[in-house]
Amino acid sequence: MLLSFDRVTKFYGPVIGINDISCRIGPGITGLLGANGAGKSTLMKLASGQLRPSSGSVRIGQHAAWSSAAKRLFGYSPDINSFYEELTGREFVYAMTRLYGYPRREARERTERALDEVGMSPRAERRLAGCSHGMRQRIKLAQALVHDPPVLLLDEPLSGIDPGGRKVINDLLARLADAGKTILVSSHILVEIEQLADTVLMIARGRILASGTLGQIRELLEDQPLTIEIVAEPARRLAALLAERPEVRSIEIRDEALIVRTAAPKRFFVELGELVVREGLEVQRLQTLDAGADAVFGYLEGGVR
Amino acid sequence: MSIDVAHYHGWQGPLRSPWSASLAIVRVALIQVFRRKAYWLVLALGLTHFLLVWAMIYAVNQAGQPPEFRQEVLQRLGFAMSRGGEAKNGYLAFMERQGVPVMILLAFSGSLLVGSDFRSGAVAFYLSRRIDRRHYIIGKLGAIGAIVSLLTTIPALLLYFEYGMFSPSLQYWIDNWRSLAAVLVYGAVLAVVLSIWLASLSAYLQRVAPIAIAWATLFILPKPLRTLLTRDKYDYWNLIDPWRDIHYAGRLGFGELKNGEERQFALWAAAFLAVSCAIALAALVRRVRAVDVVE
Repeated sequence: MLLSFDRVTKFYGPVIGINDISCRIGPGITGLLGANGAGKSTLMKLASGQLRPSSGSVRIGQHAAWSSAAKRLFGYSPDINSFYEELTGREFVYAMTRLYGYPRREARERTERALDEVGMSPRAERRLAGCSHGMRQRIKLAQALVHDPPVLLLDEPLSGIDPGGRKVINDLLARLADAGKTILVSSHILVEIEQLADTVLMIARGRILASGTLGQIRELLEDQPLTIEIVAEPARRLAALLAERPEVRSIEIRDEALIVRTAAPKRFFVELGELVVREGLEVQRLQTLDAGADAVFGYLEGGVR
Repeated sequence: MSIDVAHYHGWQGPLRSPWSASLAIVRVALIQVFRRKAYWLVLALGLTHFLLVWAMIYAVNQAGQPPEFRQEVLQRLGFAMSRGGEAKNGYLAFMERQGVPVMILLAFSGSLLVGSDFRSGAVAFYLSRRIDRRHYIIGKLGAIGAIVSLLTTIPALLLYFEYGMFSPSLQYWIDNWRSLAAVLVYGAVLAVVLSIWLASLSAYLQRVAPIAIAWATLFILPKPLRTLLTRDKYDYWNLIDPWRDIHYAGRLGFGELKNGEERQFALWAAAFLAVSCAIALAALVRRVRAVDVVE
């Protein structure tokens, strides 16, 4: 099931929330990355039919996202922490299941399955007021799963979850993705998305900065400065040779390693290889230090400032 | 992995109408109210009054009391004979007295029932489902209406049932069907007006203290104002007192209003309530529509 945004713009009065976004999100887990205020929640609300775009269209399969038909096709977990404190987790999920129109018995069965799925069955009788942040996240996830939707929209589902709970949810989402579901997960913590998502949408100031796997995004950014750690013998000889290269910005010797910062990584790696062979140097370790999501995102976000 | 392995199966049966979701919203709201121990104090106040009237009706009908005493008790309950020789509808008098616990309960539960949905963003749980704003609003109004009825109409109906039980046949219920109809009409006016006003107020003010203050002001302040502004019982300035408007509008029909002046005023009161409810409802719809607006 495809979730598609076609030239979507959303204004809040004079403020632009989402600016001409077009993308297609297919089966698997897609991470929606962005800092606070980047437009993640607006995008989630547009996808979940709570907002209509000022222009463009948002579709789930063939249906407009705000139509009644589309609302059966997705489960939504909003980014809120305090809700229905007087209800137990089970009562809350049951009530939410009833909103879909299931008869009582079916709603009870679905409630139990969803609670079991997120590992909350044994603690579902606890009132939400007494639940930890992580437990509430799981309850929210359960209520999004109850009607077995092909599309899941999860707004910051991992925030506040302990490592054990995170593993349960990551495993569950991976299983659901394997089952062919389309899952859009938003987060402002990049490591979470890096571990979880197959594809990443990076968003800032209401625009998509980049999309694809983190590796693909990285490859696209040939000119992004990169920091590389090289352990080689003799280190000082290599440092002297590298210092002559125009693409090298700085070299720092730290213990046995050279920390090299380059402005053109692709060219640097080609020339490093030639240099090592030509000079007969022995490279014991070579690794990039800032190829993670944080660095990529920081670089991309810097580009739109 | 197939969906089956993930423990889910598709639902083959028919789904109920989205309007059934409104009932689920009412159910959740009632659970929320009854889980708060502080609210039980107010409910106990209403229940005590009900039990007192219940016991009085029982005593008057069972004990061989002299007529003067019986008349005295009936007067206290609001059932006494009027000067025209007609019995008053004591059930409506009972419902009006129940207005005190109702108003207290509503003042403090508005935030819980409606305000918190907007404050915390929980309204998203509803609006992302296959129900739309109409179902959500009707569910919330139904919840408030149910609380109002639980303290007014339902106990009044029980008292009517009790009174009839002392009749040797169905005669009391047959003879006094107008009293029953009047209870239902008055109860409906109370439930509709109070639910719309409270839901609108709570959707905007959201927190307990502002709602309680505004609610109290709405019902208490107009009374002294009315006294200052009016010279006549049926002066139009009396319309600014919502409790008085409900008193008259709820008595329209079924012979509760005895003279033309009263009936005329009741019509104006009903019109005033209808207009104010329409405005409040429009504001509520606007607020629910605007959940997305950045504030």
